[in-house]
Amino acid sequence: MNVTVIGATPRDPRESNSSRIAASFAKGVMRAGSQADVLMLANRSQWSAAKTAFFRNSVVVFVLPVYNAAIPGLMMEFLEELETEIRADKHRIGTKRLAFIVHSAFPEACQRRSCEDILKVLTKALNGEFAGILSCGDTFGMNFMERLKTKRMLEFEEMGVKFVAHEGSFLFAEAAEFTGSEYMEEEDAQKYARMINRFCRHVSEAKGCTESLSSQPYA
Amino acid sequence: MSLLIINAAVREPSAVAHIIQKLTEKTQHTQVVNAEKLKIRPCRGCIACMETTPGICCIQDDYEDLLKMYLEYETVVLISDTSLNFLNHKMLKILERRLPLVTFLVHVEDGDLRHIPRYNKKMKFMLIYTGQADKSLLTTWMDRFAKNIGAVSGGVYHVSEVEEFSV
Repeated sequence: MNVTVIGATPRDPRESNSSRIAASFAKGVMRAGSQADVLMLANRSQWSAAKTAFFRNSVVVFVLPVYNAAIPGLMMEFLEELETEIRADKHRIGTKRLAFIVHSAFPEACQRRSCEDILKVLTKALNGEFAGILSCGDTFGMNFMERLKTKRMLEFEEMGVKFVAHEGSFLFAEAAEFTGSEYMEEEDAQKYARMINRFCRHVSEAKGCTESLSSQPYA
Repeated sequence: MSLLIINAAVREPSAVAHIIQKLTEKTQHTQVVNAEKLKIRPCRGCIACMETTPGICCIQDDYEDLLKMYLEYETVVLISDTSLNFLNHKMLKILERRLPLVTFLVHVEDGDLRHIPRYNKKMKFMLIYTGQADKSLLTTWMDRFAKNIGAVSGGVYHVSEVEEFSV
């Protein structure tokens, strides 16, 4: 199986979680004996190769962060360009399985649901075959906690192996469990918020911010 | 009542012009922004506006004027074309640049974790769209989008529904 993995974040690939996740997932795909191309939309020079790989391979996995409860505008722009090419020469699309890895900073699954619904609609609009979503929360800490990052990357690699075992699909129980809880218990959420806020202040100071995080420059 | 209309639609120009006219007739204080004339580059996702320069985006373009306008008007009406049954990339990119409206800090509201709004202003966002789209999907999305920035949704309407909504 040849799998195209497209990182659909506008963030610099050297710093983005999508980039790390895409690389780990592709590693798992290759460990399972399949081929994987990883391309990042943040790098405009890779758009042409991403389009070629999209049309060449029958399985495509987009890796994206939730932006505004939706997909990043950059990804939509790419899909619009694909649609234009598909319309121009419809038979090129063939039977394409589209799968997605969606991640959000906050842990609750409810934060990603709107984005997931949009991805299902987009798949249909592109005449693709929906091959499921690997939905993952709490990625914020991965930027700062090395141990957490290592653990999560191994999990994504394993999911790459299982994705191949399920013939290029996330439509299996373990992938669904990856999502985690829909909501947090109130007490846990409050505790999480306090922890994150301490962490945010610390990170901000470490990066040289001297302003209050709540400052209102345009008030 | 004050109204900020951000028009990013280029399709169905006569229907859009008609709806803008209707909206401006009904409202005392209105500003219409033609998004095509704004220089708004896409968000880079660097979160500097939350982390290192709170409330200020590191990309210096026309976003700043838009941000000030969000704070000045009671209701924001977004007019957008659609693609693949959802908002097109132009409107998504404009909305991504609203990130400085929230802080890095989080709280729990209605049972969900959310970033704390930066300003003490309850904004209302409405969406008017052209073309074909999944209205129920847009409505669900708009509710979530509004919640995430501490605003309320004023609903989603197709440009042909001009008589059906009020601000």
